[in-house]
Amino acid sequence: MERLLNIDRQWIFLVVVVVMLVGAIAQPLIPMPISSESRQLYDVVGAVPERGAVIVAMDYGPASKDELDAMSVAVLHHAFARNLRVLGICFDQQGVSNAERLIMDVAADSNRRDGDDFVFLGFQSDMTAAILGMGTSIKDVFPEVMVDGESRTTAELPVMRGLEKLEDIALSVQMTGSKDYEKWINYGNARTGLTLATGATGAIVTGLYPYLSSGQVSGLLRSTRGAADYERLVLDAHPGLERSAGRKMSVQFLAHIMLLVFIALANVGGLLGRRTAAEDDPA
Amino acid sequence: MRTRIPLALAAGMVVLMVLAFFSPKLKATYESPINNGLFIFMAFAVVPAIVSLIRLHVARIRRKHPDSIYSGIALSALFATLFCGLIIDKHAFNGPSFRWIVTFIFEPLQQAVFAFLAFFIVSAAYRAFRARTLEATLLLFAAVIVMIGNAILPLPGPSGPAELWLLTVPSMAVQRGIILGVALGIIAQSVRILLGLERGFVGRG
Amino acid sequence: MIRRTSLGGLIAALLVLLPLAVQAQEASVTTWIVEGEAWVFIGILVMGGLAAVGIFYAKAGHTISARAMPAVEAAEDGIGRAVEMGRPVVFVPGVQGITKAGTIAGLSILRLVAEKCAEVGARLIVPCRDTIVTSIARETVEDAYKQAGRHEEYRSEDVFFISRRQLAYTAGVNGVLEREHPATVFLQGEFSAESLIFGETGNRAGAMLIAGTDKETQLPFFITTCDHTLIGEELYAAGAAISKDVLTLGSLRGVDLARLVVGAIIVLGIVLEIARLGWIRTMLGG
Repeated sequence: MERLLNIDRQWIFLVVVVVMLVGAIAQPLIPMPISSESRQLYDVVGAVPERGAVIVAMDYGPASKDELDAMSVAVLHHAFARNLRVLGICFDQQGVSNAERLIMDVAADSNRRDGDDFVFLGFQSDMTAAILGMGTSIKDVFPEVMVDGESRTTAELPVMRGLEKLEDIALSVQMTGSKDYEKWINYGNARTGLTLATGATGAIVTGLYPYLSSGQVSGLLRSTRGAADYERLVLDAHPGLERSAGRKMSVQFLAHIMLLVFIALANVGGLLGRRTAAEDDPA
Repeated sequence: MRTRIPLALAAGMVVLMVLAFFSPKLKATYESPINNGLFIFMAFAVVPAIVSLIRLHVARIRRKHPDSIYSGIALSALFATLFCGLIIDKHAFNGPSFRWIVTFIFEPLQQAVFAFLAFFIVSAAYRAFRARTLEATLLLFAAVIVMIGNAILPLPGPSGPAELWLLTVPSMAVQRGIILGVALGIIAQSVRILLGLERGFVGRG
Repeated sequence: MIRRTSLGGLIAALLVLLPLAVQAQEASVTTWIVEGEAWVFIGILVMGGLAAVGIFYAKAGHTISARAMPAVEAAEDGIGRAVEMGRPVVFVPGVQGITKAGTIAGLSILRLVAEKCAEVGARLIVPCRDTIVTSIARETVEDAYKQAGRHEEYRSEDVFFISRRQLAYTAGVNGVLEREHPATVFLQGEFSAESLIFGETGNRAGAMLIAGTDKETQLPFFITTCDHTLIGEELYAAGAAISKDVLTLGSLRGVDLARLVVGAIIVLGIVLEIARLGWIRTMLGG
């Protein structure tokens, strides 16, 4: 019993490494149903009319990259496949280059033109002021952007035609690893009625369920599971997307089983220990 | 005087920023200069922080502290990055050598530290999810249901998947209660700042 | 007790507001009040007013006490533990800047912990992420040692800045915990994903962990890894509970009144919704 209760951390970590490696190599297929909130987000993007404008805000840095890149790529792929106009933004200083690279790569795969079909608006340090400002004029918040390596005035870009403020945007999808989704909700949705959807890391996603329930957020991607669900939905209608989150779910499947085994060992050890103690000391 | 001026400034700012939040006219006048001022203060505050960091590590190296090698690495990284930004990239924002350091050194190190979570979650769960008390048992059952439902196989619940019910009903109710309580606590703290009772941000008593 | 300086600040703010607001730079911005947010403004005034009522209630001489919080009671034990074991106390004042309410609450607790450490002769290490917080923490700790008459024991190198980057700071704090082997670790303020890493590393170092955060998403990690946790608004109340400052305790009483008002509105709303009378929802803009 003592051994079950006091497995050394080094052994636990070793088992974690082995299980992750086995999962990454073996890639077991997991027949999980698609979550309702992922389907909700897919339907919301699907409801945007052709050439409607979607903001994809990749507000995360390197720490959350592994969890959120897959969902960013899936949403971008879906938006481009539906011929929507995409405005990319990043409010995390450390994630700007990654966000720009992602949108450029997915756009290139989808044969979309910078400036005509999409634009990466860039970074603003003060997120609150930027969202509030976009409620009045997007072009004032991002007056100049880089298109094909050249600096251009945002107002003159074909992709920005008819897009003055947030009310002209059909949907904003934010990917985030921190609680700054509240700023989009408070200043985007509450002030301008902007339709919002969010993809979040596992650590913070539970905080979004109140907003999903109240309708302030119209769709939610729950970490890698949500990204994997979204990839499956997009692939059914628009092939060509790489299943990166789906592969990670295979690793998660084995990792979760490993976790449950450790918890079971600890509890069995505890139960046997209490029984032994009761038998030794019936009083 | 050293405490009165910050307290008076804080009290004034509480009033100003609350009113500016609800008034587009006041916001247009004040928010940008105040935010810009804040960024300037933060930029200037970096200087004494960096100086103290250098002094700390130099002192450790001089004292031949057992872990002084890490101080040497920290200082080397600091000065090498400064050299790349100021000399090689010639002060350019996000220049090529800076981006190389970020892409090939900084980001992989960040992800490595973040990867600790995978190991620590397992060891924390092994240590904490034990049915010792009623509350611990409830925690254990909730965690097991969510883990199984999230990545292994769907479990039936009162209305849809069990883990979704747990996340959207009891968990959400508790989170709403905590959010409400925290919001009220923040309002009380703001009133204390307004009345000069909250001095945590002043430093000297 | 309304301090004269605060009253001066209020008057100064109003004097600045009125004439400058008339000369607003943005001529295109003509709206004075955002439509549809009147109830939010009224709510803030009511809740803030109730907190102030609590303060004046305490000022009038009424006795107010806070309920027992295990984490607060454990704080003194933790510092005593550090003295007995000859190991330091580490205080992490959150990972956010001074603009966050949780950080201010954490710094208030730091003052009290520093006073206690100075009193009993425990070494206090404070690694900081934000540069402004570093300056404030340094002054706070130095002042605490001065007040205790032990200024010569204060070590300025024990309150230091690590990095503004989240995970670089996390790695730095981990290093402090692994090398210094503290007896007690205080994690008080706003935290994000590194909360579990701090908790586990503190456990590996054999420290007693006393955490407190207002971030509900990080509470599960602290509760599973730490010995004691201040949950949500307990972080804001802990400073008052430790110092037993009458006026600060009064503000907690005001918050309790505000909580009753919120609860009453919720109950009223539920009853009205069941009766299919949605006027309160309509009135509040739902």
